[in-house]
Amino acid sequence: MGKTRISGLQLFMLLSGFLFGSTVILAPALGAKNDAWLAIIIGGTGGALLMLIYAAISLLNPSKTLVEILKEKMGKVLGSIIAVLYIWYFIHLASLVFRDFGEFICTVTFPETPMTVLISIFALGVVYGVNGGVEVMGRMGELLVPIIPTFILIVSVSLITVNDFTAFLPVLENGMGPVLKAALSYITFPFGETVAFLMLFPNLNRKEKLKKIVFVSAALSALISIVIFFRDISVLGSDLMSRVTFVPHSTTLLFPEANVDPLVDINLMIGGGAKIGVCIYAATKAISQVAGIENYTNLTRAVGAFCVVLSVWDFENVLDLFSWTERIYSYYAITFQVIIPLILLVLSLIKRSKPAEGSDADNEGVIASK
Amino acid sequence: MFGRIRERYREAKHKFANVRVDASSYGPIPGKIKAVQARLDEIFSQCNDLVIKEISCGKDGRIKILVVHIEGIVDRRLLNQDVIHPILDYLPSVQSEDSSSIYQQLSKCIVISSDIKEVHEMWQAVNFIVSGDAVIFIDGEDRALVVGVKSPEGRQVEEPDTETSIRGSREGFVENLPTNMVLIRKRIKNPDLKMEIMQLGERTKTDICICYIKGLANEEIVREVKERLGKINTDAILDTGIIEQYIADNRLTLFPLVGNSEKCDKLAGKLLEGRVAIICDGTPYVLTVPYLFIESIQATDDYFDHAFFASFMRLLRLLALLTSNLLPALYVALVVFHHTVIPFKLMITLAASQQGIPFPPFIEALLMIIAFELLREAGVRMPRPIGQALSIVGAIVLGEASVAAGIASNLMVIIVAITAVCSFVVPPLIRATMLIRFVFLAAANFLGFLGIMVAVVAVFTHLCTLRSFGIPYLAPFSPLTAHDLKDSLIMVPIWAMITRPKILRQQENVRGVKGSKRQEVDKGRDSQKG
Amino acid sequence: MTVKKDKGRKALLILLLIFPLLLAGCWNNRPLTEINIVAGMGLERTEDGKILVTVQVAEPGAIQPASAGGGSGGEKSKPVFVASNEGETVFEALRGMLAVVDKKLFLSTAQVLIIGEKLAQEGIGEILDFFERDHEVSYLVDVIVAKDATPDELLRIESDMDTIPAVYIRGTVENTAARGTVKKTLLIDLFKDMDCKGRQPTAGQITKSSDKEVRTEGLAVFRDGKLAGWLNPYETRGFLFADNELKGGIVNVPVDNGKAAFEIIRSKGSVSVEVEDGKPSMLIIRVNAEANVGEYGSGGRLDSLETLYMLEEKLGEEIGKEIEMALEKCQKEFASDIFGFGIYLHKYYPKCWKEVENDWHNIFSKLPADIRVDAKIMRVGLVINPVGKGE
Repeated sequence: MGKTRISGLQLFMLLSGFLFGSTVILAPALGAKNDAWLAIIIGGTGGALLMLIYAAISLLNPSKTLVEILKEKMGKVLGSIIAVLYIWYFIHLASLVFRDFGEFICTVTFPETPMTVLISIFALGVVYGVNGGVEVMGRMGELLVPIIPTFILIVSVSLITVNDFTAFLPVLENGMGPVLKAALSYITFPFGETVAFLMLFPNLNRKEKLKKIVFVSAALSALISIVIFFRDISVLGSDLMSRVTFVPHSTTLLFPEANVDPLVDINLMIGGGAKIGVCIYAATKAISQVAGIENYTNLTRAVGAFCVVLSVWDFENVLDLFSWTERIYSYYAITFQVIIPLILLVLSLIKRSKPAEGSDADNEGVIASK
Repeated sequence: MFGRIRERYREAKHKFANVRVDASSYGPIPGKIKAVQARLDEIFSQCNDLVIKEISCGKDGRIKILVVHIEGIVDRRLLNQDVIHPILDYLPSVQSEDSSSIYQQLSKCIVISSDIKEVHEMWQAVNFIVSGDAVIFIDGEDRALVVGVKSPEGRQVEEPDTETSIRGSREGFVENLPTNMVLIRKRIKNPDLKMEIMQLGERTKTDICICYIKGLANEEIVREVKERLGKINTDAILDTGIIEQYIADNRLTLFPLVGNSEKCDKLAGKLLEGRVAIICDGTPYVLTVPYLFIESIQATDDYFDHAFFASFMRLLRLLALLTSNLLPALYVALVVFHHTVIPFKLMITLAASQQGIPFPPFIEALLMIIAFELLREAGVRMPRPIGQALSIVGAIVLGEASVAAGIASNLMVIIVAITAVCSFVVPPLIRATMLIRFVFLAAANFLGFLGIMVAVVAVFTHLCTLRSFGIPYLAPFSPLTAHDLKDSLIMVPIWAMITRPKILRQQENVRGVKGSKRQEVDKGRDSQKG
Repeated sequence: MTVKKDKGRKALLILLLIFPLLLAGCWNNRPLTEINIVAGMGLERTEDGKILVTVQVAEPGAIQPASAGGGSGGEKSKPVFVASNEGETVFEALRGMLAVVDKKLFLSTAQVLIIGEKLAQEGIGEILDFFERDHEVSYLVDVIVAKDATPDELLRIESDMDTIPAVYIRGTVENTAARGTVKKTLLIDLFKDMDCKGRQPTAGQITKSSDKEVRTEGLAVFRDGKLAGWLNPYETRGFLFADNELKGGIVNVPVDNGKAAFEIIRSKGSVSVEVEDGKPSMLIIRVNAEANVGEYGSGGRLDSLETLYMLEEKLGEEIGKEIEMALEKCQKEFASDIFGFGIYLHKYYPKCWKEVENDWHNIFSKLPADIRVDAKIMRVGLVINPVGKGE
C-alpha cells in the first residue's frame, strides 16, 4: 500500500484548523477572566512545547504512527492496550466537538431542530471528507482553513470603533492562581489534543519541516486566540463576558448594521470539521492498525456514527458539558496528552541511543519486557 | 440497479469483442484477381456505392488490375489524375508478364500520388476502402496498393458558434480530421508537434489523432492517454464526447475532467502548456487533457488582453460561478431561516414582495428555475427561427405574468434571472452548475446557511478527490502551487509568465525556445532600454 | 471497480432517504410571510404588578404595496398594528400575545425598546434577562425610558413623518444623540453596565409632546438597576462631554449683548480618580472640545485673537458648568456613578477598588471634583464680523 503524502502547507493548515476547532465558539482560558491573555501566552508556550514533543516522537520514529510506536516501544500487548485507550480518546474527543457544535447551533441558530439531526448531517460531511483519505483532508484544509482567520479579522476590524482598549485592565487582580489554572486548561484544550496528529505526521512529505510547522501553527493559534480575547473583552467588557455562553458569537452580534453570526457558524464548521475529521481519521487508522484491517474507509462510517451517538448520550445538557470540560477534562486528558507521550519520548530516546552500543534485538527484548 | 447495468455492459462488451474477431478474419489478400473480386462482392454486398474498375494490361491484357474505391468519399479528380490516367497512359507500353514487376512499376513510377501504402491483409484493404482511399489489386499478387485520395470535402473553416472571442483567431475546427491537423500544424510549425493517428470503434473505424508537443508534454500523460484510448472497447465513436466519457478519471462526477474546444488558437495554447489533445474525425470539438478546474474560468481572450482587465474578468467569472450556484439557495436560506441577518428595511421589502405568494420560497424558486431550464433547453433544441417567439414567451409569460398573477414574487424572478445570466458566463460548468444548484437549494431549505455550508463542503471534498490524468483537479489552489498562481484568478501579464504551469510536470518548464536563450533576449532588451 | 459502483448505490440510497427531508423543510423553516415583523417594543408594569408588553408590528404589504396585482385580502390601510398583553414574565407575556396576533412575533427587527417609568423605578434587571438570553433579540436595539407616558401610548401614536412610528422614534433618538441631548443607549450598553459596580447604566428619555409627536431628550439615570431620576438635556450633554460620547451639539455662550452659539465638532472627554493614601480623594474630568462659531449676531468684533481666546475660555466655562451640573445631580441626588469613575479605579487601582467597591455609591457622592475643560474655536464660518460691527 503506497503511502499518501501531504505537503507541509497542508499539514500546517490541518493543524491550525484543528487548533482553531472549538475555540472558535468557546473562547479559551476564560477562567482567568481579565488575565486570559496572560494565560493564553503561558498556555500557548506550554502547548507549543507539548506539540514539539509530539513532533520529536514522530521524528525519532520516522514513518511510524502512534500505534506502531506504542507497539514497538511498549511491547505488543501493553502497546495494543494503550492504543485501544487512545482510540477511545480520539473518539471521545470527536464526540465532544460534535456536542459543542450541536449545542452551539441549537442555542444560537436552530432552537427547534433536534441536535441529533444537526450533528448527523455534520458527521455525514466529515465522514465523506475523511473517506477521501489524508490527501483529500489536506487539500480541504488548504482551501478552507484560511477562511477562519479571514472572518475573524473582518469581524475584529469592523468592531474596532466600539472598542475600549483598556478593558483588559487591571492585570492580575486575582493573582497568578487562576491564570495558571486557565493556562493548564488551555494547554489541554486545544494543544494537547493534537496528540491525534501522531497518526498523521508520518504522512508528511518533508520531515525536516515538521518542527517548524508545529511551532508556527501553535504560535498562530495562540496569537489568534489573543486577538479574539482582546476583541471580545473590549467589546463586551469583562463582566458581561464572564456571563455569556458563547463569547465570540455574542461579539459578532454587535457587528454594525448587519448580523453576521453565520460567519461564526462557518468558522465553526471548518474548524470543527478539521478537528473531528482528524480525530475520526486517527481513530479509524488506529483501529485498522491494531486490528490489522487494510481498508479503513468502512470503519470511518462506523466510527463516525459511534461518535454521533456518543456525543448525544454523553451529557444531559449544555451545563453538564461545560462543567465537565472545565473540571474533569484537564485531568482526564493529561494522561493521554502528556504522560504517555513523555514516556514514549523517553523510550524513543533510549532506544535510539542504544543501538550504537549493543545489538538491536536485545534492546527490543528489554523494552518489550518492561 | 447499477448491478444490472453492469451485467448488460459486460455482455455488450463480449459481443463487440467477437465483432473484432470477425473483422480480422477476412484473411490475407488472395493471389487470384477473381478471388479478390469475389471476396469484395461478399464483403460489400448491398453496398451500391462501391466502385470496382477493372483494367487489363500486360501482354494481351492478361494481367488484370482492380481499382476499388467508394463513390463520393474519394476525390474524383485526384483519382483520375493520379491513378486512372497514369495507368491507362502507361500500361499499354508494359509488356511484362510478371505481375510483381508490374506491381513494382505501379508503385514506383506510375501512380503519381505521394501517399502510397502497401497492405497484405484483406481487412486492411477494406479499412482503407471504407475510409475513402482507393485500393489497387493486381492479378497474381497477394498484396495491394493503397492510394490516398480522400476527399477533403466538408464544411469550410469558419468561426465557431459555441466559443466566440472578441480578439483572437476566428478559425474553428471542422469535422474533417486532416483539416484540423493542418489547422494545428499551421500554428505550431515544429517537428516536435507529434500527431499520432489511431482508429477507434469496431464499426465506425473513426480516425483519432493524439496530438502533443514532444519535450513539453509529460511522457507519462501521453502514455496514459494512449493506454486509456486503447482500452476503449466500443463499436461506435461518433463524437469526442463519447471518448471523453470513456477516458475520464472519475466517470460519475458532474464536473468536466476533459476539456474540449472548437478554437484552434486555444488548442495551440493548451498544447504549448504541455497538454495533450485528442482530435476525432467527424467532430469539430477537440479534447484536451489534463483538464483542471481553473481552466473553466480561463478564456482565450485573457491572454491577448491587458493582464489587469483579464484578471478582473476572471474574478468576475468566479463570482458568476458562485452566484449561479448559490444565489437561489442563499436567498431561500435568508428568507426562511436567517431572519436575524436581514436588516429591518430589507426585511420590509422582502416581506412585501412575498405577500400573497401561495408557495413557500423553496417551491417558488424550484418552479422558476425549472421554468428557466425548460426555456433554455427549448432554445437549444428547436429550430432557430422560432427562437424569437420563445424568448418572448419566456420573458413575458414567465417573468411578467407570473409576478402579476401572484405566483412568483418579483424578487424571485430577479434572482432566477441573475442566476441564469451568471450560469452562462462559465460555459464549461453549465451542466454541473445546473444540477448542483438544486442540491444547494434543497440544503438551504433544510438547514439554512448551515445546510448550504455542508453542501458546499461536500462539493469541495468531491472536487478535492478529483484528478484529471493524475493531476489534482483543484490545482494550483489545492495542492497550493505558488508557481502556477500567476495564471489562476489573478493573471500576470503574458511577458511575465516565463514558466509553464508547473503542475502539469512538463519536461521543459521555461517558455521561450530555451530558457537560457530567453534570458539572453531579455538581457538584450534591457540593455536596449538602458 | 465494484467498490466504486457500490458506493454509488449507497449514495443513491442515502439521497433517496434524505431528499424528502430536504423538500419538507421542517423545524425552523419559516417563510417571511409567516412572521410578524416587530418594529417596536414596550414594557411597563401594570397596577397589579404584572408586566405589560406592547409590540408594534409592521405590515409590509401596506408599507410597500409593490408586489402582486393579485392582491392579498384587499387594501390594508394601516402600515402598523399595535398589540399588548400582560404576563408574569416578559416571555410569558410575549408568547401569550400569540393568542391575539396571527403570526409568530419576530423580535430581532425591533427598532426601539421603550421601558415604562414605573417598571424602570421598580428595577429593570429581571426583565432584561430575557432579552439577553433569547437568540432572536438584536443586541443593537435602542433602549429609551418613557417619562410621563406609557410605552403603550407612545407606540400607538400615528406619526406623519414615517409610516412606522418605531422608525420615527429611532430617527429622533439618532438626531438628538447627534446634538448631544440624549444618549443613544443600545441594549448591549445596558447589559454591560447592569452588572458592573464601577458604573451605573443610563438610557435615553422619551416624552409624548403631542398626539403625533414624541420628544427624545434627557437621560434616565439608574442606580442598582432602578430608575433614580432624570437629567435634563443640558445635564445630559454635560454627562456626554465627560463620557466622551458627545457627537456634536450647540452650546450657547453669553456675550456682550446676548448669546452666541457654538457648534461642537469634536470633543474628547476622560474621567479619572485621584488616589491618596490608598483612598480615592478627587474625581477628575478632563474635556478637550473643538468648536466652530455658529451664530454670533449679538457679539462684537471677532477679528482679533484676544476675543477668540476670551470666547474659548467662556465656552470652556459653559461646558464645565454643564458637566458640573450633571455630576452634582448624580452625586447629590442619585448617588449613582454613571460616569464610570469606579471602572477607572478598578482598572488602575484594583486594591483601592476592592476596599471601596461595596460602598462606592456613598463614597462617590462625597468626593470633590476637579473639572477642566479646554475648548478651542477652530473656524468662524463664512463671515468674520457680525452685521454692524465691521466699521
